[in-house]
Amino acid sequence: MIAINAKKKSEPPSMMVQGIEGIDSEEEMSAIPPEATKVTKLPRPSFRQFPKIYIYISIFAILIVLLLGVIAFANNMKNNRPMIPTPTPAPLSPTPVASNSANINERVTKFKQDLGNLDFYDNRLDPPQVDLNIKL
Amino acid sequence: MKKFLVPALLFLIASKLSFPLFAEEFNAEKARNDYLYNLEVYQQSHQEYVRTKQAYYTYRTLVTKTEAINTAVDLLLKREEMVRTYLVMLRLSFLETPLSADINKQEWVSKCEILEAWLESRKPKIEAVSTIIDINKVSEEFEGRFAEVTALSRQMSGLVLAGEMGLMIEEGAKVKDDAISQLKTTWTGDKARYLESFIAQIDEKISLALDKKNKALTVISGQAIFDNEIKDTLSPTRSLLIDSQHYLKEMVLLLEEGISE
Repeated sequence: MIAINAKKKSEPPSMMVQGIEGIDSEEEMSAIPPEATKVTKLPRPSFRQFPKIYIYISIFAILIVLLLGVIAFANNMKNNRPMIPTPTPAPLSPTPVASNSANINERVTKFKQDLGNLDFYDNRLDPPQVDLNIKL
Repeated sequence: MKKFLVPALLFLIASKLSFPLFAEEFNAEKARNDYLYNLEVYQQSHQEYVRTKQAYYTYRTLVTKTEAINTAVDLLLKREEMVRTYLVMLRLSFLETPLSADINKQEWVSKCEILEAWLESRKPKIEAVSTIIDINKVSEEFEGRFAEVTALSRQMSGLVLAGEMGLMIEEGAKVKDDAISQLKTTWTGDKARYLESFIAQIDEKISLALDKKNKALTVISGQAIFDNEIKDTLSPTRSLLIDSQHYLKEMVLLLEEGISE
């Protein structure tokens, strides 16, 4: 069986023939049995014939992407951060003296509290009580 | 069945690969829980050791002797594991506490890690012990080095306190600078003449606070072990830091007065 390349489906059969090697005339052509000149199309790859390994790799890649997305989302929720960064506020205009004074007062008060909260008797890091006489 | 098997396997592999992303960090808080658990385990083991030791001294039989040896070995393991977890907790707490820049954290962390590694390396040796002589020998080895643990603990605790005080002094100096800048704009006329002496008074308080904190650091670094006896440096360190805190409080009072006038 001879395979003949087809240009377009709409073209007449005579136009579809590009030429057969060793045949120069109509007589020679007519001598060829019709089965031999039957046009056969090359099979197009179908989805079923597509190698399965590529499908599995694609699924695997999608799953990883989804998993990473879930992890990123979970981490984001855990850290309680907004997904979209909030725009930084525009710098304020120079504060008047009165509010500046209030600000300094607040800072001094806060510092005083922090200073008072320092605990020099915190025993959380004290070494454990250990029996240093384990003998028989 | 085969169609689902391969994707399922791939999904499992992907989950396994992404597992480290879920793994939580081992921090000071977790180390503390670990230490407290091991402390409880050690205390239970100690009760068992006391009971079996008493039975062995009373009856002197082969059974009681074997039981006493087994519980003593178990106690040695629990004791060293508990101390090791304590050192991990100490090291992580030290690392996580914000301290002033004059404290070289890595130097102290390394000291801690050396002791941790030593304790970890002793496990097979203790597990192999089967006689009373070996128990006593292995126990003495640990007891000889426990003074190092206590000394390191006191030093690192003192450094944590001094480091926190150092940060407080730095913050106090910043608050003072901002307050003085403001006072320069509000103290006008006759009051402006007193500003210089006011600033000098405040600077003196900060300087005294800093001096006491530095003395505390000197005491901590002078910590030494003499014949397994540890000089208690934590009490003088605390006293010096309380003095330092006192000077900073005086500075705050001065600032409050200055701002209210």
